[in-house]
Amino acid sequence: MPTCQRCEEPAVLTSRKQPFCKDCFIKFIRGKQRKVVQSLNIKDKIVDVLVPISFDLSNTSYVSFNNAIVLLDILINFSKSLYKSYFKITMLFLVTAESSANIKSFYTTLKERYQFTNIDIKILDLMAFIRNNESLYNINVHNNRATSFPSVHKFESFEDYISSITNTSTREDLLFNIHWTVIKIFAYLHNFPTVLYSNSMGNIATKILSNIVKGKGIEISQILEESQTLEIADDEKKQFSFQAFYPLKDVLNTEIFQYIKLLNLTDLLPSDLQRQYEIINDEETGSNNKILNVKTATLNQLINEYFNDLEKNGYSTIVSTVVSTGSKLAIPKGELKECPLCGFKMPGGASKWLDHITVNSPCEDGESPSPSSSENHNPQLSGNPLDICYGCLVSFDTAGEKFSWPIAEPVSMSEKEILNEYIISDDDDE
Amino acid sequence: MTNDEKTKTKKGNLKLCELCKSRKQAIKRPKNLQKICKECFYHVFETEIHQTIVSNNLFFPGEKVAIGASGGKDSTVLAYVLKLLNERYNYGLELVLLSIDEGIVGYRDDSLATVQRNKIQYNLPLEIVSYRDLYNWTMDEIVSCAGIRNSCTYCGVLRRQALDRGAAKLGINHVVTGHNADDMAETVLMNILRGDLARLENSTTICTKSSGSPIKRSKPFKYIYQKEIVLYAHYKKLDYFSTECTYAPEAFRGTARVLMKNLEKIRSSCITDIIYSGENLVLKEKKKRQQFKKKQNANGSKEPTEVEIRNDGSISLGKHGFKDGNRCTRCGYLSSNTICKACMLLEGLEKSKAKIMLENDGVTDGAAKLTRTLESLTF
Ligand SMILES: [Zn+2]
Ligand SMILES: [Zn+2]
Repeated sequence: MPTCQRCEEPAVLTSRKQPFCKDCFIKFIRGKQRKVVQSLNIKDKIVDVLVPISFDLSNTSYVSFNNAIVLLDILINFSKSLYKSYFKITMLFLVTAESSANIKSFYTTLKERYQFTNIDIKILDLMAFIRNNESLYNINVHNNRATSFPSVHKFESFEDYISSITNTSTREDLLFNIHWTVIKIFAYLHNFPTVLYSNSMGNIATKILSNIVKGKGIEISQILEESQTLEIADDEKKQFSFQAFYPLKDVLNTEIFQYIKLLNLTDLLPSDLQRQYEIINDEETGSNNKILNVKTATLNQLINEYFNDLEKNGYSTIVSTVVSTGSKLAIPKGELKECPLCGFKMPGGASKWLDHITVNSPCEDGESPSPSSSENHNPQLSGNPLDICYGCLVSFDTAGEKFSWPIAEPVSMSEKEILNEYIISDDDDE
Repeated sequence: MTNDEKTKTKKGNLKLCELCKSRKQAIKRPKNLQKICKECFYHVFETEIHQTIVSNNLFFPGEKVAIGASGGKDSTVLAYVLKLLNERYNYGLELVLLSIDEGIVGYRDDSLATVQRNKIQYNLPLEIVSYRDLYNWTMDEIVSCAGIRNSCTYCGVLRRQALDRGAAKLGINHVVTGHNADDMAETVLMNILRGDLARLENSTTICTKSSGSPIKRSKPFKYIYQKEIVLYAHYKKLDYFSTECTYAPEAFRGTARVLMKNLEKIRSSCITDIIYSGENLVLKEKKKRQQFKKKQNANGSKEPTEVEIRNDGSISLGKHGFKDGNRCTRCGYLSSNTICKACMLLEGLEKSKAKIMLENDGVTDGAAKLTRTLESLTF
């Protein structure tokens, strides 16, 4: 057994090619958050932070939960000791079904374990997002053009809505857009100055590369930007600004796993996820052992696996290189507008760009074309033309005919009411 | 699929082209999975290249253009299509085939024979420039001296100069190469994975020019899928040499290539999508970034400084700027340093040839080290 390079105690694990004992490893990981905590500029005041957690028992919610408990552990420890200042943490659970019982028990366990009271919980049903049927539009993408018209579909549940999209990579994009938007709106409604995302280095690298692959390179800098804004329709200020940080952006996926294991944070996991944790993780390396089926995997899953392989094989420097490259990207200059689907700034003209590089007309010489040819290569679309970003154009091309999206003006009062209506649980009832 | 049904009912079971609705489906377009007939495929393939040429103002009437011809499918299709478009749309170009003989026995011998046949088939003049003539080394000799691992480094630098020198010799200022959309997308991915900031913003530029060099290079196949080039060559029965370079690419590039192939299986548009992303990548202003760099260097991090080879074999001259008019003291080729990159590499070779008994460790600066680490990577 090698000894820890920092204190000569017997090492319990190796990370980034260095042997660590338990204490030094925990210190190492917690130390990585110091920069973020310092940038929050907390001296003697309480800092309100929002920690969003996606929770729908899918594979990604498992990752989200794992990361979140590591982040919470680190924040609570900071708050209790090191800086003599503290956070007021609000966990925002984004749920797609009635899984609130599980979450409540998690909340109770968490408070007991840490003896920490400055923590609240909010559970938000994502159904709120599509509830307002007046603003729900049917989006149709065809021949590199998007159109919209008021939706005739009634969705019974969020699952019903999501499952109308059969392409899993597209569904993944849609879910991200919804989560991203809802978190912003929530931060605005409850006036949170700071949002802390719990994504690990591997998650962020995956997001960066997958954005490149999906034609959404322009979004990278907007996602990683520390100062975020939200356009508000009926607010005098017109714009809500908050800070967004990724405190775990220097922590590898394998390190998240090790951290959870060493501190027995698995006890905190709701039972469903505990089971998932046992199935998915390899005891030795903490890495996902499932072999992806290339045909059924989503784009994100493939890219995630690529980075996990790099990490497993000792090439974590590539993962960190991608993250630091992403952080050096900027929003292009020039006139930009907001994509009505994903909300990210875009240069516009995506359809034209695609037309230019893809010819969609038939060869007219030789055989005389059949009479139907002219009527067909640009089928008439119903609805109003909608200028969406390149990434959405490509992704929602396969969304299917039921695909709908609430195209609203910037956040309005009615949405405010709806979101409030759909908050299942508040700290008030504790 | 409603479209399928429509085309089916027309003539019984015969499925008709989704574009012209009159001819038989023959090809599923790799780019967008459209099922089209051969004629429509030729039409869209050629017209897309034409549109790229026109919208980027790649040529001017009367321009002399050298087609970098390797005998492989990309450059063979390029020669064929450029000649065709030049005649169809009256570009008024004077086209010349320009081949480099690297001196790789087996690979180059056969491919040069192909180029010789292309010369006759397309009725285009052919010029062959050899490494032996230019550098007094053949690629085989270089590899036996520097090791197979570094072969792409050498070949990249030497080939670019060879094409430029060959073109200059013919009094031609413009070289076109057969780099396609897959190559472009791969370059974007590699630049992201390697954190190559110096090249990130220009990963997808269609026209490049080494600073100081009078030779312009462009890539008319920028948006053309590799698979479509293969299909085009196949259906047009073009005569090309299909063996890959015997010195295979570094392993790390290989893993990125596998990833890209898998991504393409899920979403066929993703090669185009990567290029779109690449065209919109912008770096934060330098000031902020330099602070970052300092920090990175303090950590002993990599900062590519030595030989930087692009996917297309071109080299970057680094950020030290270029003093115009400087020439290599050895060979007289334009260079920002007293000795040009090619001469520098060759000088290194001469030295290692002398010390051939010693363990060959190649270059050991940061960039090379990182590349080496990446090269040993396979999974
Ligand atoms: Zn969008
Ligand atoms: Zn046709």
